[in-house]
Amino acid sequence: MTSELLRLEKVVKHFPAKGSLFYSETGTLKKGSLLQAVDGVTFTLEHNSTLGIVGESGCGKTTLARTIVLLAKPTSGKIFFEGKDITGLSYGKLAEIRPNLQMVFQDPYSSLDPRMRAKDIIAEPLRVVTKDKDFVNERVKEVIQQVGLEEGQLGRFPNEFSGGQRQRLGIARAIASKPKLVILDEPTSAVDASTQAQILNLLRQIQEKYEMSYLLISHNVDVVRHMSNRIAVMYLGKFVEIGPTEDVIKIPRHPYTAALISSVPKPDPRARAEMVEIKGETPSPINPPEGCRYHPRCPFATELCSQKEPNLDEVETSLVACHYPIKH
Amino acid sequence: MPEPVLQVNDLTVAFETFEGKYSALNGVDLEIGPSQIMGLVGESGCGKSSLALAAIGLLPVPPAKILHGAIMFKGENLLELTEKDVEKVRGTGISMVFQEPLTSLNPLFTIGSQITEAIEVRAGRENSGETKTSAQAEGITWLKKVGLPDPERAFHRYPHELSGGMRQRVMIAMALSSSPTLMIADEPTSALDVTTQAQILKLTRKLVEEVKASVLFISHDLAVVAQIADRVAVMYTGMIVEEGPAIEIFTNTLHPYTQALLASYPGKESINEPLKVIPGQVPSLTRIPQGCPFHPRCSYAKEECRTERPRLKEVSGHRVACLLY
Amino acid sequence: MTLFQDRKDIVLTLRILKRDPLAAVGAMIAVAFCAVAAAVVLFGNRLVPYDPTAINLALAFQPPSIQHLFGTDNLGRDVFSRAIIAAPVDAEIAFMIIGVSSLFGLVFGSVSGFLGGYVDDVFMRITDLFLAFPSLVLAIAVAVALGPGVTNVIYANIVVWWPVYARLSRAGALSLNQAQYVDAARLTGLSRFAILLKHIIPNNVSPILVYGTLDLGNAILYASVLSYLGLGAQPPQPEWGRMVFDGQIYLTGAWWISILPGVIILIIALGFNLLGDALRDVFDPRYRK
Repeated sequence: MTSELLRLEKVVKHFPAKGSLFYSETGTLKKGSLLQAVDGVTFTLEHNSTLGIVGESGCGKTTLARTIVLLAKPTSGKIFFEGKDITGLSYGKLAEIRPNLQMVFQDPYSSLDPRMRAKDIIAEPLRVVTKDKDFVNERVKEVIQQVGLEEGQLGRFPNEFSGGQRQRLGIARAIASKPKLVILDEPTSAVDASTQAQILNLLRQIQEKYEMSYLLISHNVDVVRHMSNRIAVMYLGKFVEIGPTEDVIKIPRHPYTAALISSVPKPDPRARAEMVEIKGETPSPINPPEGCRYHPRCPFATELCSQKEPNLDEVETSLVACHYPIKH
Repeated sequence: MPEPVLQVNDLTVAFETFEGKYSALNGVDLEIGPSQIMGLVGESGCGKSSLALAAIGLLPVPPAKILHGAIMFKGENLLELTEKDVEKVRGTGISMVFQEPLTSLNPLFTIGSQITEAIEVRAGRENSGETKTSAQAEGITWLKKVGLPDPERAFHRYPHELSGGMRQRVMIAMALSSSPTLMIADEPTSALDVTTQAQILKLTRKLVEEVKASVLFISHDLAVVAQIADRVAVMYTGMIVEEGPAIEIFTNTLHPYTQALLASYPGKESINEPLKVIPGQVPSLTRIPQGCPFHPRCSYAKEECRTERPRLKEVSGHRVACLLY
Repeated sequence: MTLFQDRKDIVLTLRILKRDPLAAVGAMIAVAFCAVAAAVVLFGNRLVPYDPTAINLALAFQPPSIQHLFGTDNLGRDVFSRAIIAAPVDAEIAFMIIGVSSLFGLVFGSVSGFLGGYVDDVFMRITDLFLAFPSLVLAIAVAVALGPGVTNVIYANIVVWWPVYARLSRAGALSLNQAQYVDAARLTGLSRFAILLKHIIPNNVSPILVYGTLDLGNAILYASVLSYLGLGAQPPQPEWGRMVFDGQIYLTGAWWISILPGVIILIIALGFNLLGDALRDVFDPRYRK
């Protein structure tokens, strides 16, 4: 029995690029016409801990989240949950692990069925596994209070709640079955700063109470830093750096990590720090650059970088995918 | 004291909606000086976008109703101008950058034609004898200035062919190439990645200084505003609660709301400490509390705060609307 | 299944009806039509001043007057009474056509859009097959094949009507498939059948409802046309389309026998169209903000 809760090995998720430009006359996919959303991700997650995955648009983090919960089947690679290989499981067999693997979605306005009352939304995952009505009702009442809402609101419809409250309902639904792992996909991106603080505190409280693990996915470095034990930085489908939170933030070793961290604005006009240089914009994940995917934008790139893709190698406490990791 | 470029005096605007009267702006007082970047910060529903729309003449009247106040620009009250006069002001004095460039750039025209249009408008005003070719050349120069790779080719591209970051750069080029006195930017970087945002903020600071324009930079993000603004105004339920030099606002914060907002930013506490939260929720603009609108959520609230509405007062270098002072 | 989620929808509908006079008119016409049809079913001939089937040649060809609001026809029957009694016939036909077509189309299209792949391809080709025929021609052909009578008119029209609802539902299902709450339902381990039944179909109902209301007007038109051609209601049962046909030889002289029932058809079809337009605004997500 391993202590790892989740393990990914070289998980790949490719989509055939849509559009006639990518297909030859005979209908076969032209070379280099794959949308390489996730391209070989490997990591482990322990019990009762949080891994934050941070990255900008187009890096593949949402696809990664969906692949981990098997809403999308990986193109290749393996996913282990509690030591069991869940990669090839059918939809029906997956139902067994569902109570332990849940997700909180990004958009509070489309993650709740507008035609269902709050109590039914929260009860849904429970009703799939048990017919005991009393148990379900008790648990729903328990959970709605834990997320900071009131029992009296159980009869309402989603459009009667604010964005922040809807997100709490989404959290209630996710934790109803007492899962061991919850994927948080941009849980606070759609709400205000003050609501964000409330939601993040709630998530921490719940984590402590249930001793669950979180996989937190966000483009917001500050949020990820506040919540995670470890951080992984994702770029164009791959992890470029992964390590303990404070190390990655304070001593970034990958040039992209350094550029990303230095770009985050701080609420202090005196800290208009110079950004670590980053050229141009993120290329499309269709046909990513040869060699190191970051090399066209990297101020330190050399000939080697354009030819050979670096592996995630150990550099002190972190793993870094760079031929010339920054020395501090 | 140099003459302010934009002066908002006690502006009060309400919307009549299905749900009742929606008080978008409640006695807003704001001044922007020449070559000054004013950052306007507030959470969603505080009325900041309504202020921007009012200044540029895009407030839908009705359902909006201007109950009181004025917006003075170059000696004229923008709210009293006819549609034609407002158009003149838009082309020659005030320009605007919106959050989503996809909807503010015309998809049927090339980038080049849209930017030369902006340049020709300025040329018309200055009677500087700009020709088609010189406008085009200047357009390409501007595209280069905002950092578009390969500006000559980009000139002939259509908006949908560019990425979000590049389109926003084009918007800035269009806004600044007409040499405006005031540029209003409403959440210009909110839809962008953080690295692109940092690039664009840096770029905007540089170009605005070059063109000597004033800027009203609106954002929900205090940190973003800290990066670019000379002065900062904080807005809550349609009124300015604190305003002053950027450094003052962040280091000598006076209003409890501003303090609470700054304190709720993650990234400072360690993982084990909860974030400081502002209790309650932002009130709906149809039901603003009596007295000081922030009092139900304020940890320093006194008896008077419930009945007396505080007005902006000069306190140690900047202005605050709070009965504590 | 809650169609109007809360008071807000009803309030919004009423507000739109208040503001938009055309919509209000449409609503009134639709309501009047349903009320009259219901009344006739309940009270029968007692509702009208004259027996609609009573032949009295002495009174034939009377122009509209106080005693005979719509005049009398070639057999001395009161046209007004006949027109009123005819109401439930078209009502039944229209509601049955739309009701069955929309229900079938809803399920067919939702399944198609939700399952995708092979199923979607096959289902859509079937739909295309039906859509390839000009609808009125196909309806007439089926009605002729089945023979005269109200029930056959209904069957004939269902055959023609369901594909549009299937298409509409499929489009709805395709976008619902991407909705985050459907993903959340998948994550609970709910079977695909249950997801279809609980999440996809109920949320797909609104566009169908709106379209169906608009369509009721058209359905009434088609029913009248088929009856005009002799395929629908058979004499002596009064029916508007049939009355138009029967009266058309007298058009130059006793125009009221043909024209007035025709005008009724027109007004009712128009009324449903206007109502459907207003309903569309209520359910349009942009309007709701």
